[in-house]
Amino acid sequence: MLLDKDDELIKLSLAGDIEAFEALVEKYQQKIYNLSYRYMGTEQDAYDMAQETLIKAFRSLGTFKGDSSLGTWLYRITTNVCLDELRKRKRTLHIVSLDEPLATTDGDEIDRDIPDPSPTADILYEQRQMEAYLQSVIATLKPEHKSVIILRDVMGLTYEEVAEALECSIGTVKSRLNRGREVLRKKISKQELLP
Amino acid sequence: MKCRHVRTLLSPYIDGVLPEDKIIELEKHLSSCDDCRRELGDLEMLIAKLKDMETLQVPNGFMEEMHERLLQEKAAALNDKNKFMKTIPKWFVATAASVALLAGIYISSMIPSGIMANLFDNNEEGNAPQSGKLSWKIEKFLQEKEAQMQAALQDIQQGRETVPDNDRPSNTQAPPVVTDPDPVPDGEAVTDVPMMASSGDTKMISTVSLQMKSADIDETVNNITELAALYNGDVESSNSQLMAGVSQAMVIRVSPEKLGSFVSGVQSLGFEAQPMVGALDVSEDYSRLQDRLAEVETIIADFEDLEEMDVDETDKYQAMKFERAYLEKQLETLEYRTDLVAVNVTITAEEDQ
Repeated sequence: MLLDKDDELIKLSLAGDIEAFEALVEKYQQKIYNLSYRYMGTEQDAYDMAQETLIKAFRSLGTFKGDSSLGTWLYRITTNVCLDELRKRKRTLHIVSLDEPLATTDGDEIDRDIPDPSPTADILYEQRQMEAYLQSVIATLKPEHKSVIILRDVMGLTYEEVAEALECSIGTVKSRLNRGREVLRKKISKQELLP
Repeated sequence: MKCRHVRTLLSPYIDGVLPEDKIIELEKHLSSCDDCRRELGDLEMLIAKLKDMETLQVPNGFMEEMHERLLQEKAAALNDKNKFMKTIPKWFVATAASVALLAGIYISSMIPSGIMANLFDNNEEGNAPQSGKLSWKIEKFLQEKEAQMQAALQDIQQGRETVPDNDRPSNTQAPPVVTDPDPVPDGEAVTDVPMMASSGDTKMISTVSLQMKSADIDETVNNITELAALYNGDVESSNSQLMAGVSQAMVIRVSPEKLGSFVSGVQSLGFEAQPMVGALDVSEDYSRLQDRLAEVETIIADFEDLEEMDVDETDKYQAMKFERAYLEKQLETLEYRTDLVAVNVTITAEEDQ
């Protein structure tokens, strides 16, 4: 539910009060920045996408009806901004998702047998490098799996909040989470990160 | 339970959202299957690692840059508004009230007195079910109201095609009075759309009309609807079956502050859209509603003075209360509309060359 204070700040922001909007930004900026970082993988990109998200939110605040919390509404914008940017880059760079099955000429689908680009085993034990590795593997997931893993497992949102942020049903969240975690586990266990 | 099925349950199991009966089945399977148990352990560890990923601090200067960008946004919005004001043509025609807008006003001001009279005076009650008479009446009332609205829409639609302005057939209601054109002197830019003073007995609605052609009417309607949402505009569409696919009329009510940005946005959709500014006098509609409300209130008061009411009287009393709520709502709507600018967009299909 929308907190009264948010409600008040939204009203003031809609009337053009920049300070009121900045008060909202103060409250949510860290989560938005971290969410952007998990999607994009670099601090510079996270910075740019978080800025972009908040400007978009400022422009379209009038469309926020309070059906979801302001937080999940902002995460939805963040997710869309980041995925759009990643799509644009993918188009330019022709990157292929590694968990995307390969279609054969007779219409079947087979898994790609491509080794993940990954750090060597001896550096995986360092916490930071392990995180960077996890981040790099998350980056290879399909957008729908990436979103649920980041929102649920990294950001700690509830199923309901993830469903609101992604504008899908809880059932869809469940099945995507199931599949996304499974794919992630398979990729990582190849690198002996997990026992 | 097979391993393949079990694997689909592990994720909800870890999150604690698996139903009780499935948990029992799953745990029974896990106690006897090393592979599935190992997979559960792997998943739990993975999720724990994801949860423990570092939370980054927002870099210094983030808020400062945001502040600058917000100031630019605000300036750009103001700029958009000024740009739009300069595009308003000199001829400043006030024949702006076209089909949709008129329809909108008519619908909002339709007084159900005639229908209400019908409701009680006609002899059709034989057709009514014996029980639930009131709900039958209300349903009938709504059906007739709907029919009357449709008829009014059609009248207006046909009137536009065949009858010159303000020269309407005598069997239709007179249209709201459109104020005289207020031409802008040559060489002067219009700096603002005048919000018509609505005080005392005078109720005015400021209007801006845009005519545009589009190859894809539905898409244009969607674009305008999205734009309206961006600027908090209320969208009303009216179209008769006759005109479907040929033209679409929309009224978007926006606050005067957001008018400039909204209209610039509509123009930026890439269609020729020359704004015309005017105003509608809805005082008559307003006073008709007020008069009827006064009547209804008197009738309600009379009923309330009765010591007791028979079934028929109770029905009438309820129906009057229903009408009172309806009239109050209509008055409120008209009041609300006088505070906004009605942007009237008529989209017609682009003719084949």
